[in-house]
Amino acid sequence: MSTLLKKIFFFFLVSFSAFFLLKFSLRNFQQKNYNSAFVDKLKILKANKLNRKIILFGGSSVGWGFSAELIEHKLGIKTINLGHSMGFGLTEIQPFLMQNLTSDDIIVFSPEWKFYTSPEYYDTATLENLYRYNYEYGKLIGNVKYEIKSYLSKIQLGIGQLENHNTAYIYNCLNKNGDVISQCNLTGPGPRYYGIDNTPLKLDVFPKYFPFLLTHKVIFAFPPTQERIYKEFGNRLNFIQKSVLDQHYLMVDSVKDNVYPQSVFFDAEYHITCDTRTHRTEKLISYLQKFIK
Amino acid sequence: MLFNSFAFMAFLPIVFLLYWFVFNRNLKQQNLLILVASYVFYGWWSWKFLILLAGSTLLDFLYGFGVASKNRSKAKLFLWLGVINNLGILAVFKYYNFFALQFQQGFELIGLHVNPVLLNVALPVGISFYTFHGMSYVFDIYRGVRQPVASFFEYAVFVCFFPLLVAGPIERANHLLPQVQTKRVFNYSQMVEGCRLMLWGMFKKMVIADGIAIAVDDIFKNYPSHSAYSLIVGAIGFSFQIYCDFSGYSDIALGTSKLFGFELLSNFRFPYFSRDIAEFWRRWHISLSSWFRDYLYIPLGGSKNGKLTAVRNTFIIFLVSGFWHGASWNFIIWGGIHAIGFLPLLLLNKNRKNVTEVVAYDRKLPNVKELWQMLTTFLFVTFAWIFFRIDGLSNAVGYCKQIIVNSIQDPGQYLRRPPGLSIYIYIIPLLLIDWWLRRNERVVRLTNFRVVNWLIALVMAFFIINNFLGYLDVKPTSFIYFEF
Repeated sequence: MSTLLKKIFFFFLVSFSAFFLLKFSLRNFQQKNYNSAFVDKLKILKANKLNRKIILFGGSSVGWGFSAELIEHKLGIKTINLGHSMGFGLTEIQPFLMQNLTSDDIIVFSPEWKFYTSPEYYDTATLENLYRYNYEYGKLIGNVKYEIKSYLSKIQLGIGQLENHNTAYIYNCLNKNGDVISQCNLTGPGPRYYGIDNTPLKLDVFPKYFPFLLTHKVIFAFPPTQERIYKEFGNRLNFIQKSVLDQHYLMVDSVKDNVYPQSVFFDAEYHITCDTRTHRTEKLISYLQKFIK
Repeated sequence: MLFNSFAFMAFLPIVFLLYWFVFNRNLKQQNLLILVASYVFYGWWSWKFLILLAGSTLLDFLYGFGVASKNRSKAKLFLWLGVINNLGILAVFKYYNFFALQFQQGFELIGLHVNPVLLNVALPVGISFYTFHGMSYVFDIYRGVRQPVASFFEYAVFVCFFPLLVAGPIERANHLLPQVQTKRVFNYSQMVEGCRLMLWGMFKKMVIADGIAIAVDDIFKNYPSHSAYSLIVGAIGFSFQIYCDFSGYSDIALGTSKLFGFELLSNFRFPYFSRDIAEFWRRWHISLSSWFRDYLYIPLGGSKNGKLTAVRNTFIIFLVSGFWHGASWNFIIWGGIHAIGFLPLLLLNKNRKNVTEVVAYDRKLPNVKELWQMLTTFLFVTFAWIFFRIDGLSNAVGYCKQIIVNSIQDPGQYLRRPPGLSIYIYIIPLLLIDWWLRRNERVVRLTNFRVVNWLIALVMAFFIINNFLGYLDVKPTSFIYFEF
């Protein structure tokens, strides 16, 4: 019996040690997915820490809805698109964002509607996928817990998965400014319907969650909104707009200016097509030109 | 409690150590611990299931005494009570809603609208397995091949021994009860074999079956949008997924039992190396097919009363076997397809051609004829699996239709690389290992070199640990046969 127990113990010891050693040495070679591209955006920000820049900040409505590349081209200022997925939440990377801003950076802040009532919102599964399978994320934002959890995650071997060539949700989805461009030659399934909640707005506590509101030049932009959503929740959305104005924040344009027919949406709630994004960004550029002057 | 769960990883060593170090003084203590552990294992799903399990066990135990009566009418009465009791449990929990809906549809065909009461109860895990244990016990007593056991504890251990409780192998009273009634002694080589079987079973389930499932699930779920080539790959993938899932479970069950000094019946003997459908059924889910053979096919007359009776009985056991898997027309059709595949062999008296040894037993490789036979048998079985896997008969037909229509529309696809081809990364090594092991399914020993065997085991452990870590994010995937 003792021989058996010793052998089993030895087997477990060797196999677990070998596994975790390998895991440790492979920690920077995790298989990348769409979420991993967000880490690349943070790296672009870090690389431009000392440069004057325009930051486009929000969830995927920003990543898919503005072209930082076009802004940079037209205005000649480094522009980074940090919007990627609403599910990551916006609050967690605030310390990292603040560390990598210069005092004269400009932030175009475009939170999705959900954040107006829940600025601390994030989706657990999406965020977990980000930090578990992207060791560098925890390292970049200085979260040791995430680093450990990433270390304890599965090595994604990626075999058995279907090779889907017809999706925008791939790792190589960005241009050098961080805009999501993988959808540009694809046809999307069209947008999803969503509701707007009626709970009290938390604009008054925004500076607590988004400290750049107190320290930097910030311009609010509203997310691209489907006509049917505006038709149903127009009053509520206009109330949000009024509340932003009441807080004396600057705004690119109105909620109504960002209402588009369903046909120009690629998928999800806010993802617009590349052509629409260009028109929308041009409006932002003309506003920024005035603002910069 | 799933075998591939953190709970079981804690449960098993605790029970093992208690069994051999604390409760090892006498048979009663050993059986008591097994019984308590089995109830904990089963109650992990829901304690409510335990009531049904305990009730069913007690009734079958009591019927056993009646069935043993020398008065044949009394024995027959108790036999029927045992059968009605077990089939009644299955009828209520597994089949009631199916029949109610069939009656409703039938009445609607003649213009009558009825609203049957449907039961909203969860299907207790492993119900089809332990009820069959109970029935085999009363059948064996009735046939005079064994006497009823005097100890309820011993009988309860036979029914609910945790490694086989939820998905078999379906044990026979004559095989397992004598082991329950004898004090188990520690046997080093049996333990080592048990550990090897468990490791191989875990690898088959957690790495191969769950790995293949990613592509297969997508293909079956979105079959209308897939090409014919993908659908064929999906069907082949499912053939291996279900094989690794179920035979993996059986290996873990056999291995776990060995750790407690028990030897269970083999459930799989490399079924995809079968040369015809008859051989396939002697190698696939052996404990179920032999159960139906002994307790249904032979009592119905088997093949002794002429060809017509044999054909009728063959169809009966295949259809019942299909229905045993679940209350759905898909399973019945699946059974029917196998019966049709079996029919030519029966009519030509070729159904007992490959009875004893596995293909190429005394050679390294099969010959061309054997290879062709194995391939055609596999493709036939794979075709039938489509009906087993997909929900709804119309979807199964749609899946097959899509393969034909899309092949005609785009024959060039077979020259291109299909999606999902990566599942062969799992299948090819599996086939090679199975081929190597094919002479003895109970001994997982790849080479005669200890160091090489250790290295292979460590590689397997690496992949298993990796998949276990995945359970930090998502719940472990259940075994397919737990649904039955």
